[in-house]
Amino acid sequence: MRDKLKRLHAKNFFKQWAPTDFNAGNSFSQEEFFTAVPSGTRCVLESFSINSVYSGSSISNSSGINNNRDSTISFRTGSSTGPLIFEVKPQFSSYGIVLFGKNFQSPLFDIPCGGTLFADGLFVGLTARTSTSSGPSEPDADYGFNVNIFYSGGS
Amino acid sequence: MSNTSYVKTITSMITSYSPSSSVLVNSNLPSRFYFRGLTVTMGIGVSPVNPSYLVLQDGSGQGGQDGFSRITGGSVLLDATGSRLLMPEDSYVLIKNGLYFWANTGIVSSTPLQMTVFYT
Repeated sequence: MRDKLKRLHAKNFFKQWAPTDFNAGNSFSQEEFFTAVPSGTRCVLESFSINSVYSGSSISNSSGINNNRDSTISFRTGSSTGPLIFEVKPQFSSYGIVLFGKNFQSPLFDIPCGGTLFADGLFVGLTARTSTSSGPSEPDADYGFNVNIFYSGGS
Repeated sequence: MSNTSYVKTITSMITSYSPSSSVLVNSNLPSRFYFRGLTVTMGIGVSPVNPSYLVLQDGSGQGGQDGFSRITGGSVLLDATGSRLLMPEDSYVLIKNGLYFWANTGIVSSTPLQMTVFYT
């Protein structure tokens, strides 16, 4: 029988920022970019999981994090500022993302129809924002994101 | 004809672990195999060390918390439920240097960590 198993590559991107990293000088925003696959190389993103991570004991608007602010996980090609292929918004509930626990890892999401083509490399951006850009807004504790990806090609 | 073969499984119950060290998930796993998925149950770290996270590594020489995948949690890795890191259907990740895990908190017998690896 012909073996139709597909070999994938797995990578993890994780970043937490300290409360003091968020200050008026950067509008209470922080960004981190990762290169999963360098430009000039094609790959297909097949599956991913994400979640927000927060080191505090509870999460609320008073924690300095607000879902209304535009924290995002972005998937781009070309470069870390290249064309946006798609974007995911990690969200806290009062217990954490998707109500499974304070910061529970999301299940893998399998992209339909064999995945999404990244024709010129795959770049993952983590953008963390706090509850406001106009006043003191440090999170109460370390805050960031965790992203797992599975992709084919790219090597 | 189905192109899906049955997978092998192996389960480890981790009852003792020192934080920030790379440890083989199970010594009976070959060093080179097709990783098809993982379930993790129970919790690590009952003390409020947040976030608790579990990193999977291909080989122990990657240093620190670098790995090919990571499961994160809250005050414990899992809040009275199960976690899974399953591969997309009919796919695998090649492990070449043994499957290791790394965690940021210790594991003790009263709150063991159970992992089942699916592989071919």
